[in-house]
Formats: sequence, C-alpha cells, structure tokens
Amino acid sequence: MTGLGAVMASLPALLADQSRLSEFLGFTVFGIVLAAIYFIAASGLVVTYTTSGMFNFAHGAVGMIGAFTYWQLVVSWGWPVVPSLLIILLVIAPLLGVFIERVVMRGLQGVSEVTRTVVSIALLFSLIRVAPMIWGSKNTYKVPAFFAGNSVEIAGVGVTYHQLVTIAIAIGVAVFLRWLLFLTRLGVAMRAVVDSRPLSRLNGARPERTSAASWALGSSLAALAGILVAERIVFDVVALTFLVVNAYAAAVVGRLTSLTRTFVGAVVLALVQSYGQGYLQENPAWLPKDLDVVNTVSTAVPVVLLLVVLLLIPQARLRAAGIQRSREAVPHPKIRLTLIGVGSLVAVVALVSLVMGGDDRITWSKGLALAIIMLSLVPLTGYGGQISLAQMSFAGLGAYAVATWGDGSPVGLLAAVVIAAAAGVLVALPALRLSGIYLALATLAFAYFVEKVVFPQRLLFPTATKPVKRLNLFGLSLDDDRAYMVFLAVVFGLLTVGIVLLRLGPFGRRLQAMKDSPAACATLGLNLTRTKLQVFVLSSAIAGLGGGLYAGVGKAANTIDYSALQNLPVLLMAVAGGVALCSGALVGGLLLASFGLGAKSIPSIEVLGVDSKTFFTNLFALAPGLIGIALGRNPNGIVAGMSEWARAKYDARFGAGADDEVDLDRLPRLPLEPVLDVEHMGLFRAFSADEVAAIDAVVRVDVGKEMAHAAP
Amino acid sequence: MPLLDAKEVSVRFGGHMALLDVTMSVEPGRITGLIGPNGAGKTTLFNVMTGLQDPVRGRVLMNGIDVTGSPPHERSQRGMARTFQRLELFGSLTAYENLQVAAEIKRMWGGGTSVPADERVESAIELIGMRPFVHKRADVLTTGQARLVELGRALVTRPKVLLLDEPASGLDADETEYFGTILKGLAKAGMGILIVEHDVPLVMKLCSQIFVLDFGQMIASGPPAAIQGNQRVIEAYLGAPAGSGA
Ligand SMILES: Nc1ncnc2c1ncn2[C@@H]1O[C@H](COP(=O)(O)OP(=O)(O)OP(=O)(O)O)[C@@H](O)[C@H]1O
Ligand SMILES: [Mg+2]
Repeated sequence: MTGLGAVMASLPALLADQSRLSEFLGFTVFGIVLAAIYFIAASGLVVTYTTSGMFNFAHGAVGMIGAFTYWQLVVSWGWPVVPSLLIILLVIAPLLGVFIERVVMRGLQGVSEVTRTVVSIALLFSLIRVAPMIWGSKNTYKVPAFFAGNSVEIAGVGVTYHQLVTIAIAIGVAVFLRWLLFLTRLGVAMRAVVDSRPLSRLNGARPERTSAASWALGSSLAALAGILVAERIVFDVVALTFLVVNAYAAAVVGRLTSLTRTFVGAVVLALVQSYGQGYLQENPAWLPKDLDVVNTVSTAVPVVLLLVVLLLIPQARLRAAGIQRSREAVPHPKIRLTLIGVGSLVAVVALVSLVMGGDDRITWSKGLALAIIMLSLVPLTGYGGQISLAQMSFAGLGAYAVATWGDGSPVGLLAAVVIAAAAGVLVALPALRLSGIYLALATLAFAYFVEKVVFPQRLLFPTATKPVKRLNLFGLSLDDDRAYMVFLAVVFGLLTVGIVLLRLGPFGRRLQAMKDSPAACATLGLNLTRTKLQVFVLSSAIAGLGGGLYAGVGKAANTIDYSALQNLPVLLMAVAGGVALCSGALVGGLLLASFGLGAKSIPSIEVLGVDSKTFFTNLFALAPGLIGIALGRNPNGIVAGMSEWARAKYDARFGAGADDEVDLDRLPRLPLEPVLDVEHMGLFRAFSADEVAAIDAVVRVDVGKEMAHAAP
Repeated sequence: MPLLDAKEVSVRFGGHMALLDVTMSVEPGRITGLIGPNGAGKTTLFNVMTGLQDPVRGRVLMNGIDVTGSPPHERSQRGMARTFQRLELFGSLTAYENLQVAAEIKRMWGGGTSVPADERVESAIELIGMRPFVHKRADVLTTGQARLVELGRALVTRPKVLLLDEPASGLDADETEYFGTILKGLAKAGMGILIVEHDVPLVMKLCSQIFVLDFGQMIASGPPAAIQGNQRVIEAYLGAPAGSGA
C-alpha cells in the first residue's frame, strides 16, 4: 500500500519531467495500437463463438495464414497494398472460413464438446504445419508498414501513419460488428443460430448459411489482425500464431461473448504489456541480470491476465442438458483382458527389443514413453471429459526434474511427479470451476508460458539440453537400451492396470458420471471442482513421470521436445488412438513416434518433379492434424473402431452372436440431434425479451405432443 | 417447520421474467404438487431450489436455514434430491451403476449412514422394481425405465425432500399407478415430496397441497378441491382448450 502511495505521490513530478512524459505517452501509444490489434483478433473469436457455439482454437493460425498471404502478395510478388488487402480480407480469408465450416465443422453435430475442441485443435496444428510447406521455414519474414516513413507528432510523440491506420481500422471493426449483429437480419439470425439450430430453422432461418457467414467473418478478422501484427515483428509461423493467441485472454475477459468487455480486456492487456516492457527495459538494475525482461513480460502478461480473469469469472451455471445419446461409446474395460494385454505387450517388447536395430529401438522406446504421457489423458479426457493442452509441458517439467535430481535413484522420478502435479494444481485451479473450454485455454496459455518464460531462464536452465541419468534400481542398471525399452513397457503396463482398476472403482465411475451429466452429479452431492482437481492432479503427475522417462530414452532433457506446440500432437494422437482406452494411448504414442521414423526411412526419389522424401516428411508432419480432423467421423478412436470392425467381420462369418448372447452394449446408437426443447435454449446466453416472445410464439407447446400430432 | 421454502423468488432471462416473487413451501410427510401450463416456470423454480439457477431476488431455505447462495452439492448434502424433466442419466453407465454412483457419492460425504452403498442400491432397485433392466446401459432405456432409474438414483441418497420434474411422463397407466403408490409410501415415511406433473388427475389424487404457476407468477395454492374450483386456475390451465392439462 505504501509502495503504491509513494508511486502515486511521485507521479506528478514524473509527468512534469518533459522527457518522462513523452516516454510515457510513447508507451501509451504503443499499447493502444497493440490493443487495437488484440481487439480485432479477439472480436473474430467472439463472433464465431457466439454464432456457432464453437471456440475456434485455429483462429490464431488463420491470422498467421492471412499474414503470410499478405507477405506473398505484397513483398514477394510486389503487388500494391490496397488490392492485396481487399483480396485477402474479402476473398481468400472468407473462403478459408467457409471451407473450414463446410468441411471440418459441419460434421460435428452429435459429438461431445471434447471432440469438437479436439478437431479445432487439429485444425490449428494442420495450419501451423502447412504454412512452412508453402512458405518455407525461415524466420525472417517482414512486411512493410502502411505509408512507411510517414508519421505525425502528437503531444511530442511520433505516431506513424501505420499506427493511426491500425487504430482507425479497429474502431471501424467495432462499429461494423455492432451494426451487423444488432441491426441487420443476418446478424440477428447469426445470434439466433447458436441458441437452437432446429428452432431457428422453424423460424425460417437457414442456420447453415448464417453459420458459414459467421465463419467467413471470423476468418477475415483473424487475417486482418494477423496482417496488422505482422508489421511489428520479424515473424515466423509459430510466433505469429501465438501472437494472435494472446488475444484469447482479451476474449476471455469478455467471457467469449461480449464485444464490449472484450474491448476492455484488449486495452488492459495491451497497456500492461506495453508499460511493463517499456519501463522494465529501462531500469532492470533490481532484476536478475540473466532475466530476458522484454520477452518474459510480453509472454507472461497475457498468461497471468488470463488466469486472473478466470479466477474472477463467476461460476458457470450448470445446465441440465438432457441425456446425451452421443456417438461416443466405449465399453467398460475388463480386468482379465487388460492383464492379458499388458502381459503380451511386455513379452512382445522384450522379444522385439532383442532383434531391433539401435536407432529403431530409440524410436520405439520414445513411442512407449509418449504412450505413458498419453496415458495421463485417459482418466482426464477419456473418463472425465476435460481437455488439457499442457501434458507435454508437464512432461517437460518432469524431464528437467529428473535431469536435476535424478542420479540414478528414484528421487528424480519422484521429483518429476511432485513438480508436475504441483504445476497442475496451479494451472487447473482457476479454470476448473468453469466449463471445459476454459481449462483448455488455461493449459494452452500455461504451455506457452513454460516454453517462453520458464525454459529460457538461464538461472534455472543454464543450457537448453541437460544430461539425464537413467534409473538404477537396486543395482539393476537400465543403461542398456534393451533393458530400458522393456522397463518402459512394464511401467506402461503397471499404469494401465492402475488406470483400469481406477475406472472400475468408485472414482472412475464418478468421473464417467461427471462427464455424462455434471448437473446430475452436483445435485447428488458431488463437489465437481474437487473431483476435477483430483483427476487433473493425477493426470499431470502421470505426465510428469512420463516426461522423466521420455528424457531417459535419449539420456537428455531437451527443451525443444517440450515446446508449447508439442502438446498438440500428443493430445491429437491420444484422442485418435482412443482416449477412453489405455490401448488407445499405446497406439497413439507408437504412431506419433513412427511418424518421425517413417519420414527418415523413405528413400529420396523424384516423382513428377516432387521429391518423395520431402513429400512423405511433410505428410508425416501433417499426419496428427489430418487424423485429428478425421476424428469427427469416428470419435471413439482407432482401437475401438478396429475392434468394432473385427467384430463385424466375425459376426458376418459366424452369424451375429455366434459366441454369446446379443450384447445390449453393442446395439447401434444413433447420432441424435438434440431434441427441440425450451429448456435447451439459451445455451450460450439468456434471450432478450423479443427473442423470448418470438420463440414462445413458435413453441408454446409441449414438443412431445406436437410430434405426436405430426405423426398421425 | 417446512422442509423447503422458496421466498419471493424472481428469475430473469434477458428481459423476460421467468419467475416473479414466487413463494411456496414443501412440508415433511406430504406430497406437494406444482402445476402450470408449459413455460410457466416450474422447471426454473426447481433449478432455483436445487442451486442450478441463481435468482435475481428472493431466498431459498431448507429447514429454516438460508441456502440461497450455496452450490447444488451442498444442498444435496443437506438432504435435497431431484429428478430432471429432460433426463439426466449417466448414459454410459448401466442403470445399476447410476444408482451405485449416487450411493458412493453419498458415502463420500458421510451423511451419517452405516448402510453399505451396495445394500442401499439393492433396496432401491427392489422398491422401484427396476430389476429387469439393471444391467442395461442407461442410454438405451425407454423413457419410462429411465424415469424410474432417476427416481432410484435420487432415493439412494436418502433425501429429506425430493423434487420430481414430470416423473410420470412417458410412463404407461400401470407404471403410473405403481409410481403413485411408491410416492405415497415415501411420504408416509416422512419424506417431503414436490412434484411437477402435467397429469392433473394424478396430481389431484396424490397431493395434499397444490401450487399453481402461470407466466412466472403463483396464481393459486391450496388443497386439491380448492384448486379444482379456482376460477383463475381454470382460466389459466384447466379450462384451456382441449388437449392441455388432462
Ligand atoms: N436458459 C434460458 N434462457 C432463456 N429463457 C429460458 C431459459 N430457460 C427457460 N427459459 C424460459 O423461461 C420460461 C419458463 O421455463 P420453464 O422451463 O421453467 O417452464 P416449465 O413450467 O417447466 O414448462 P414445461 O411445462 O414446458 O416444462 C419459458 O418461457 C422459457 O422459455
Ligand atoms: Mg419444465
């Protein structure tokens, strides 16, 4: 308090000093321009979220694509600025948006929120991987400012034309959106679509068309933000994507639905970032020398703001959504089958490790370690229905714990588990009271924070790579790669048995129940927040352990392996394998590792002017994204899909139920559209008076009876 | 003292008042009815009582204790349970497991019972007669069966007050008859039951006290005979054109 008082008291004196004042104004202008960009990016997110009910994780990547296209047209081909902008904002970006809506998102009705989120994350990953294939993977791209070299002086501060244009565009966007959403037919229809597709159809609206329009608009706004932000930096694919991701924090201030609050969020975020960077750069005397201030502040501010805002958001109202007969159904695991499976896995790995070459052994060992990390998602995502985008970051903390404290004793792995679990509590606590999407956002922010703020601290991590000693249990050394590979299989097996037992016990039942109906669980007396925290801690602990083991494979902990981006394929492949099954994690882990191997083993041949090696390298790099997108068709994952396929073949040959009575678990489940229901409306916001009147005019009837009338 | 009190509760959705100064109470050992046309606000009132919806005004009391701001799980731990109009079963679990989860949750926070979870599940299964389908997955049950499972799931928490949102819709005549018998037995054992139902004859038969909601306002309350003769109720509900109500 006194500190703040002192600052306040000295403020007039500070501002009186002319150079201080203009410095302050300079930072302010910088902040306002940044706020304008954040607002444009965040408003695009809000538009797609309020109109399609879908949080688009790929938003930042769309912005990145927009910026690269702009670079292509203006820098590479030398086109004039205005036509290039018009082409991108009015043609290319909207088309990309419509394409995404048509091809990727529309197939997603009747799937869970988890699957929908995962598909949008898959899209994010795919775009990040596609861009370097088109534009190369240099990190030296630069686009010119609008009216480069021109500036005006306002109150002693130089403001470039580019900055003025940016601010003007943001104001234009705000006015345009206000007008569009509240004063036009299309806008009102857009806002109605999200609340109830079937209902707005009854009203004569065409939800498909309005939904496509909103994706087109969101995509244009993302591209615009990407282009504006690109001018400020020398950029590369990932940096640009994550710059736009900062805007997520602003959108969360608006609870993903309010443009006004999003605007406030953008301004606060940008000013804090700007002052922080500016002033801390000036007098870093009291800060540790090794601290990279500018980088740390600019990365830490959005993450901290996001977590603080999450703490402040009032608890989401639980909704009674009705029983979900979704396409997602995985049978209960059976303990006998699990034991047989685990036993055979260890046996096969033991055999294979003997005949395998050294390089392959490393690759497949990595696959097993990745599978262990993915196991952490089985209780969290598979049973509990919560998404985490930070499992590889927890693994990274685990890897560094092992590198720091592991001298061959289990202490290192123990430290890995404890540190990852503690970090898990920190990340999850603010988000757990809220709906699943916020947990995904918080973990993504945390992953970015770990990569950009934690790992670069030379105080903690003097080098990016640290040697790791493998476990040495009771004189039994695992230094030999064969022994280590078998050891990994054994750990995977033990964890699998543990997780299956958990699933068959009370805690597993509670998780499953919580996924099926949070509202019912709460009214039965279950503390949802505590339950989610428990499973999140368990999950991050497993990830930490997996990270420690993963580092043991290459006998080194390398920060690159645990970057924010690495979290995406881990989640995608775990879900692709089948995240409700431990065997799904195994398949996911091995597949992910094999993508790296596959690319290496392809010979280089020219086919139709394309180098086969490059082609397959690209294909494997893209694979997790493509597989993730395909998930919309089979949300149960590869393992469940294969066993269903095998069963169908078996039944076709021997007749259904040849070996047992008809299994009620296996009756086909329909991808039901949600029943039209008054209780189901207002999913994302409460209706206004005229909307309620309009709706009541249509459905002041019991739908059940209405349908009974319709069918004579 | 009433088990459950709603005092001058108001709920707003946007510009629309779904409930306006609604007051009602549920007494122990009795079945109380809550009726009203579609969209009257009955489910909304249930949500306020169970903590799924915050009122803009008004209070909810359990046994005289103010629980207005407290989350759903705390109210449940004080002895409240409910069923849902749109079924909220745990679809990927079997009917048996649906009850088992509830019993285990109850055991977790104590609730002062020494009866093992399985025993309580078994007795609820017997009581409700859900033996034939206990091992089916909940999402393949018929609506009637599912409603019974929801009732059973609420009962294994041994609630003092039980809120039922249209429990008889989807049941056939025999099932409804049997259902009524169970409810009467529970009330006789001291439980306070609040039932929302469109099957008006059933409500008239079961309830000793009936409240009538219309457009978010409580327009009448009293014993069945008084409600049947109430002019406002007849206008709002019973006298509405053919098809509704009965
Ligand atoms: N989440 C919501 N957002 C906006 N309006 C809502 C919401 N939930 C309910 N309403 C409105 O509140 C009013 C009361 O709804 P409620 O479901 O409580 O009625 P009800 O009496 O249970 O009707 P029914 O007999 O059809 O079940 C209705 O006009 C409904 O449209
Ligand atoms: Mg209702």
